Amino acid sequence: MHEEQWLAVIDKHVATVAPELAGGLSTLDCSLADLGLNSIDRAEVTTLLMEEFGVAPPIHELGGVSDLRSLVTLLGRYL
Amino acid sequence: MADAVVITGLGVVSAVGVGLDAFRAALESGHSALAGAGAPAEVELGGFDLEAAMAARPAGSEPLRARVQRLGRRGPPGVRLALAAALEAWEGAGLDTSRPAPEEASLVVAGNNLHGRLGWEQRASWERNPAFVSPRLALQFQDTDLVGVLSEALELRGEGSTVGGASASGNLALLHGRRLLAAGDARVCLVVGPMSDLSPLEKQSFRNLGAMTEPGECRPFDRASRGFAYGQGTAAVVLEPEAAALRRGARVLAELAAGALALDGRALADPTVAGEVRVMREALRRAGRSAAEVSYVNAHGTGSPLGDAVEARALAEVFAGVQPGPWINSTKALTGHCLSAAGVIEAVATVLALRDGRVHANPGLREPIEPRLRFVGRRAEQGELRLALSNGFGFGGINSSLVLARRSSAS
Repeated sequence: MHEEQWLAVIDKHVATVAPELAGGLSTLDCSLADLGLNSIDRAEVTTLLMEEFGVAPPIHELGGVSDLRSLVTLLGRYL
Repeated sequence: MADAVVITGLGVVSAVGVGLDAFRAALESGHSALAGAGAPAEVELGGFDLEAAMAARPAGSEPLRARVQRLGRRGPPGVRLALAAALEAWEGAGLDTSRPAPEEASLVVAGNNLHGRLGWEQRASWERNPAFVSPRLALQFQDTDLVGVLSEALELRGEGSTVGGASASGNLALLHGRRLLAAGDARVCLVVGPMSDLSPLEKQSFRNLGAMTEPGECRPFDRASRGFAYGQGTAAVVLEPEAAALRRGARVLAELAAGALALDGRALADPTVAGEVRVMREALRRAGRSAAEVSYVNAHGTGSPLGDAVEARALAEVFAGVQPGPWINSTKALTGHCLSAAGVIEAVATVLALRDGRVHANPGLREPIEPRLRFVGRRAEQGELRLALSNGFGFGGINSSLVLARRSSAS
């Protein structure tokens, strides 16, 4: 997937979880926390992304994610 | 003598009305959500619009309303209903502008097993892969989610907890709130009876037990009743010591004079006359009042043939020799049985009855099971009401009764 496609699908789930924070995503070089999502919102968006793509990386690998780029890289490995 | 505990704020969201004015109008007309043209198969409020409910009332504190809106957007229906009812009670008590220190403001949420539907709705994700289950469910399936949400919305930082007792939960929560104030452990206490958001599995278990029926067949205290009808609703009540309420210029709506809770020592869903008589008499004794002074009983009255028969016999015993005896009705005939919320919704109905001098109809009551009792018929009755009981009985032999008294300062 291209970066623009990842940004679009992440933003869709941000809009589901925290509508007031949607539309503010322009790069994968930031974290969901940078967007203003709290810890529960971040876990929720990550789970929605996993469910959308039907992938379930091990929890310990998800724990190593530092920004959106590392998150999509991880998800992409399991696609 | 200890300071009286009074009610200064009320809020309600029910199937017969969103907000206190609409609820009062339904009580006056005897409108039931359970019968007549357009009655739903189940009384549910999943589509409740919190923002519309807030917009329908005069504007209050903007920061408070912004917090309520923010928390409501993330919450399931039960949270949105609780926020709406709590906000109405809080603003109605004038606490948005004349507020106590947050550390002196307590919260009691009635009920247990409140959010079964939320877990049920995750089963498709679970079946695809357990890793897809919503992590938010870890907060939301817990009854105390409401404690967290409401305390953040209203800035309540005193004591806070849930108090569960099956269908008696609402009464138990009011009693617990009253005790917090009487003990001096809080200056104000918000008591919320939240929606019991049952899963299809839980609802079916009630049907299979023979306890729950369809709305049109729910007719409390009638010979034709077949069981209770599930209802969804929420109510909130603000309690304060009377002296403190008057000092800040609050409007006193009624007194929560006393209450009693006692167990039957029975694990099943088989109520006893002796247990119900005991809590009604004990509640009156604690209030220093007699059965002859009671003008009105808001009965537990679910529509369960066994439960109604036992409560009717208990009422006949408590009010034996009292003529003409108190008016008796069941708010569940209008709202359905709102389970954890029932006691708080019925306390709201009882306060309105005391203030308005009007007891609502029992619209489905055609052939009462106990002719010695003075049931309200299919039309509301007017009268001077000074003292009321509100009963709540739960599976597992949990019996409760509250005593509510009209206050002359009510306006």
